[in-house]
Amino acid sequence: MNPGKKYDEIELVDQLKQRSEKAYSYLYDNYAGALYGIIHSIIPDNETANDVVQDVFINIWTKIDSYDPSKGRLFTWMLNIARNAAIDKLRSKGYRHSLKNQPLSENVDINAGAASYPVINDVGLRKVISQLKEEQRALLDLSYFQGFTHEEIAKAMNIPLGTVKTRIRTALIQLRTLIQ
Amino acid sequence: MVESYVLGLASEQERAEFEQLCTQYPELVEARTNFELLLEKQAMQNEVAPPVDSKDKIWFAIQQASSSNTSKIITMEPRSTRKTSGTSWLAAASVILMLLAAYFAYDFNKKNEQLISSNEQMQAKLNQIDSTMKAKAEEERIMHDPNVIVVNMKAMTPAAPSASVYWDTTSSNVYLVVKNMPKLASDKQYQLWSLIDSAGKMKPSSLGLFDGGDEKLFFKMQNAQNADHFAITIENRGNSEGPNTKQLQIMGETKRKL
Repeated sequence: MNPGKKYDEIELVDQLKQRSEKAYSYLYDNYAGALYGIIHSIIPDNETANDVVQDVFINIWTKIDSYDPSKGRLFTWMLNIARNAAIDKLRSKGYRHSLKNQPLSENVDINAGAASYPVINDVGLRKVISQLKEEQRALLDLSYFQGFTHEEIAKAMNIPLGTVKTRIRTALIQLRTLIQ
Repeated sequence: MVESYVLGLASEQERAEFEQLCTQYPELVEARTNFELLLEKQAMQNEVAPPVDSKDKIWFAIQQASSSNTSKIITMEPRSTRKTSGTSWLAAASVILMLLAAYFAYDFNKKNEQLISSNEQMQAKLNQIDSTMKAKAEEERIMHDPNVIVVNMKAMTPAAPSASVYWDTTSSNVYLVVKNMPKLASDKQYQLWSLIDSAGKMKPSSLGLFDGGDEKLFFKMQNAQNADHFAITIENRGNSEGPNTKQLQIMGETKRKL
C-alpha cells in the first residue's frame, strides 16, 4: 500500500470498480472517520455502530458498480449508504431488544424510536441541527436521523402532509446557511 | 429540493424529477455539487475514528466473500499424448455430461430469474390496480354522499369544456368531475373558482389550477366553506392573480342557502 498516493474522485471510483486493494485502503483511510461520525450520530451505541460501519464498507465495495457519478458525488453516495444502513439497524428488532426498558413495537412508532435513547447532541450535523428552532429540529431528527417518511411524520404528529413538507423544506434551507 | 435530494430525504418521485431537471439545468447540478461539498466538508470536520481493527476486519470479510464467489479454476493438461480409445471415450462422455449439466444449471437459473421478474411485474401491476380501485371507491362514495351538492356548470362560451363540481358541504371538500376538458397550450391551465355573491358583486377565491386532457377525470380541489357559484376560467400557467373573466368557460350556481 502506498499512503502517499492521492486519488481524484473519478480515478478512485475507477480503481474501486477494478477492485483495487490500494483504492479500498485509500477510501477507508480517508472516509471511514467521516462515515463513522454519521453512523454514530444515528446509533450512539459503539458496538452496534462498529458493526454498521463494517457493513457499510462491504456494501460500498460490492455495490460500487451501481454508483452513478451523474447523480452526485461519491461521498454523497457513501453517506446515504451509511445513513440507510444505520437507520435499518436502528429499526431492527435486535437493536431494539438490546436496549432495556424500551417499549417494543412491531409497527413504526415515532415515540418508541431513538428519540428517547441518549444521543450525542454536540457533534456533527446533530450539533448544527440543535441550533434550529425546536419544531424544525424535531422534524429533521425524525426524518434525517430516524428515517421516517413525510407521510409517517404527518400521521404521527397529526399535522397535514403539506405542512410537514413545507416545514422540512424551510428547516433544510436554514440548515444550509448554518453549515456554511 | 437540492438539500432534500442530497440528504436522501426526497421521495422516489421527487428524486426522479430532480434527476430529470439536472439533465436540463447545469446550474442545478452546480447547486447540488456545492451543497454536497458543504456536507462533505462538514462530515470531514466531524470525523469519529472507528476501532483500529475495523479496516482489517472489513478487508478480510471482503476477501472471504469474493473468494467464495469465484469458483476455482482447474487447469487440465494432457498426461500423455497417446491414449487408449477407452479412456478417450470416457473423457468425451464426461465432457458431454459436464456440458449438459452446465446447460441445465444455466437454464434453471435463467427460468428462475424470469419467474422472479414476472412476479415483480405482477406485484407492481397489482399495486397499481389496488390504488386505482381505492381511488374509484372514493369517487363512488363522494357521488352518493347525501351531504354532497352537485353543481353542473353551464357553458359560457360556444366551445366550452364540460365539468361538474361535487361539493361536500360538511367537510368543505371540493371535487371536480371532468366530462370534457380539452388539452390547453402548455402555458395555459384551467382554474376553478368559488364565487361568493355579496351585494351584487362576485367575490372569487381560487380553488386550484389543473391541466386538461383526458388522462385525469377526477380532481380533488382546494376546500371551500362558502360558495354561491363555481366557475372555471382559462389562465396563464401558475396564475396567482384573480380570474380572467374574458376567459370564463363554465359556471354553475350552488343554490345553497347560507
